[in-house]
Amino acid sequence: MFAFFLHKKFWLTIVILLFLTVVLEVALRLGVWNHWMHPRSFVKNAVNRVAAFESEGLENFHWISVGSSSFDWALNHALVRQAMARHGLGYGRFGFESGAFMSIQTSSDWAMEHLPNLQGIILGMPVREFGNFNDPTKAFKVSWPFLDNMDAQRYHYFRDIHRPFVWPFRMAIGMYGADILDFLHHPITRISLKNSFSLWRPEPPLLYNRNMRRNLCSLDLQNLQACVATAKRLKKQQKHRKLKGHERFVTRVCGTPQAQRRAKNNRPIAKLNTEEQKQLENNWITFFQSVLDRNKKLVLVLLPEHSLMNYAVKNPSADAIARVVIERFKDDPRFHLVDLRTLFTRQTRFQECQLYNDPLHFNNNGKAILTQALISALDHFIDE
Amino acid sequence: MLFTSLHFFIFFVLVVVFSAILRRHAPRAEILFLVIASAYFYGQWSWKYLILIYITILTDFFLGLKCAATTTHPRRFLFLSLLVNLGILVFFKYANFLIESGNQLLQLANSDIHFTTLDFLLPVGISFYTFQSLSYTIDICRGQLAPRRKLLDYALFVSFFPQLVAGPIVRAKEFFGQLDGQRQFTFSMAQSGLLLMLIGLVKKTVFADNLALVADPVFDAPAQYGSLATLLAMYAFAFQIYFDFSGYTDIAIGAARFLGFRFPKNFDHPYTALSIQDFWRRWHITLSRWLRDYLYISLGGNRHGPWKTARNLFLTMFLGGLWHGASWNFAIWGSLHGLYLAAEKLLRIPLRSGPTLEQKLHRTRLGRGFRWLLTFNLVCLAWIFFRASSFDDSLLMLSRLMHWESQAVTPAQWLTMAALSGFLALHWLGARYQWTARSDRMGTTEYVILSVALVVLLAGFSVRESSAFIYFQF
Repeated sequence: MFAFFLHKKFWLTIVILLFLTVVLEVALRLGVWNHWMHPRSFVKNAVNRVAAFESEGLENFHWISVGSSSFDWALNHALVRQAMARHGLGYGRFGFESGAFMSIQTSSDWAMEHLPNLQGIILGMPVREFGNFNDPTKAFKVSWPFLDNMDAQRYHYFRDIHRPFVWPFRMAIGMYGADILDFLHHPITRISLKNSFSLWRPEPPLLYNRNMRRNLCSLDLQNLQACVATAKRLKKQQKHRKLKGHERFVTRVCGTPQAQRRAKNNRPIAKLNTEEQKQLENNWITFFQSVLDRNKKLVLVLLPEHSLMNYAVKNPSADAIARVVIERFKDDPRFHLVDLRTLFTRQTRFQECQLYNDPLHFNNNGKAILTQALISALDHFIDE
Repeated sequence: MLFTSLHFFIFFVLVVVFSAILRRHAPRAEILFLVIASAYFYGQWSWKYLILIYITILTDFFLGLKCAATTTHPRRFLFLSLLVNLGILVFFKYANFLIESGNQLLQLANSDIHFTTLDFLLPVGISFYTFQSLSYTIDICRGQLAPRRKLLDYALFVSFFPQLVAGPIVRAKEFFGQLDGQRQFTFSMAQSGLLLMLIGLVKKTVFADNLALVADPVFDAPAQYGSLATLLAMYAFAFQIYFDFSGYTDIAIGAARFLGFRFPKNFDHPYTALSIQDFWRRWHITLSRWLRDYLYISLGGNRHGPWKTARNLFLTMFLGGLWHGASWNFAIWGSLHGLYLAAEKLLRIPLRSGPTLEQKLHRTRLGRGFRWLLTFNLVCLAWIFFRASSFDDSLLMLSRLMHWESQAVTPAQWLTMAALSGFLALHWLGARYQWTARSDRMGTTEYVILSVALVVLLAGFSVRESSAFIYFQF
């Protein structure tokens, strides 16, 4: 009865399909699709950055900055580069949009392996990121060129995915699949997008200076209750107009039923459990130690955070994790802490809302202040 | 439960496995199991309307027995069967259409009377299972078929899930012949079943659903598009409906083969037809033969001279058009085909001794090419009435085609033209190599290459959110 399923007509089809899958996987790993990738995708962003490093010469980089977009878009990289150049050092931007622990660790490890003259790493992050696990839907894409440096035995990247089950997420087919399908379904749109993208973003990837012109002053984000009310108002407006990025962020964070319940009951965000907290502490400590063990300097820049992130997003355990990690390395001469958490409250020129493009990212005002503060700290640190 | 859904896949695998086990150990239980599985399948749309199917089943089963048992006026039972079946069909499918048409007439007559339309959904597949069930009682009352003694067998004949909602319309003789014989899930049936299901899935989710992206916007708002976009939408819909319906049929035939049944073919590359008559021998074949055997022949067929033949053809196609849907657009679509067929019939009358125009044209390659081009375009023009939302939209689209406005061709239109040319070439290649007809006797190399190509097409080009099959609405 089931003779057909044992016949080569059936299984040869399966074997050929598996073979084609393997060929496609290998071809994608070799980068055959990189040229056609969506120019604004996470994978393309990471691949382009590696190409930019290679085209400038890997030996010309002495310092790199790593982190998520909170840090990467918060700097005027051209100014940082000039400041480093005054010390005779080369600087490269190595932070990624939607980056998290996985991209920070893998890209840093990649840099330490491939940049022969690398002296140090500037890791910038708000404290809340100490309390975050990686988002598996983004982490692998953001870290794609550096996945050989991923170590699922050593690091606990995900909250819900157990270590032995991480490998399917590393498949190139999964990484590029959606992009290839999108190209096949919309070839004309994609080709015209590819052709026009270089006109939108003329500056080289390593000097990319995102123009952040918005501010948050039109939104009442004083506390969770105000944020929930603002989100409700924006949701109503959504029926009549398309919300802007920072408005969408507010509705995503404060427009949820959970946020409404928390606002009503004045309840804080649930802490991580002890095991999770330990896992995250170990991740950061192991990573920092691996940087220092390779005799590289590590500058940890703690960034200011918008109050919304404190009351609506940040896990209360993040501060504790950050404390444990910093305490562990504070006496190491190769470790340097640049604490800019109160940078904005120390200045009087701008109100908080005038310094943020959205609750996650600084605007041009915030960027100018932060870049200047970082350059001063770096000058001091390098001179030492 | 769509054939393209994961839900159907799981359901189907379970049915095939349990059915195979039961067939070996308890054949009658398999029939019962298939009847229950079919009820579950239909119930996923509406458990309520399952009652209608069973009213049809019970009515025709008992009237069939009565018709065969009586020698005096057996036709009264046929009349009763027609009354019940067509009564249900007319009520559920045409009631609102008749009410709206009546209201329009009353409005024309300046009457204040206005009837409100009824609020219910059209039962899925009602036209198909009604025709299938009707053919059974007609055949019995004509003395061409012995009635079935087991209700369960008859229930399976009418409600068998692979062909329940959109055909093919199987004849009782074909079905019961297989049910009584030694049905087996043979090697060749598994081979062809799997390939047909793959072909059907590709036709639906890759070809038809992508073509819908071209055709739908234009048919939904024809005033916003120019002549070329309208022309491309017309051709795109012609292929969309072919791939959609023949894709469904391929899956249905393939699924039935896994359960040990061979269904008649429903399509034979209709867009390679050289005449409208040829087209109807290739398009929805099981409906064409139903209309021929139970309507056209009953009207007199071709027994009373060319003019009455033409009239019968027209009437048959008009009613065939209305069978598809309760709207004047379907009636016009059917009437157009009726006119085409009638005209063709009249053109076949030799004026003097010697060949007809058709025969003359058929002699040369150029002549055959002309006949194909004419047939294809006449069919495509008629599709406008079939797909357009209203009669006004149909006229607007026709006027766009008649009063051509030249516009710059966009890259998307070039791509559509290339794709349509590709589909046409594929259609002719399909007619040449007969992949579906040869699916059970294909050699290993050809079978494997074709299967791999189909899976690659499915993986790369299928539209994620596949829409329902077009013919489900009929």
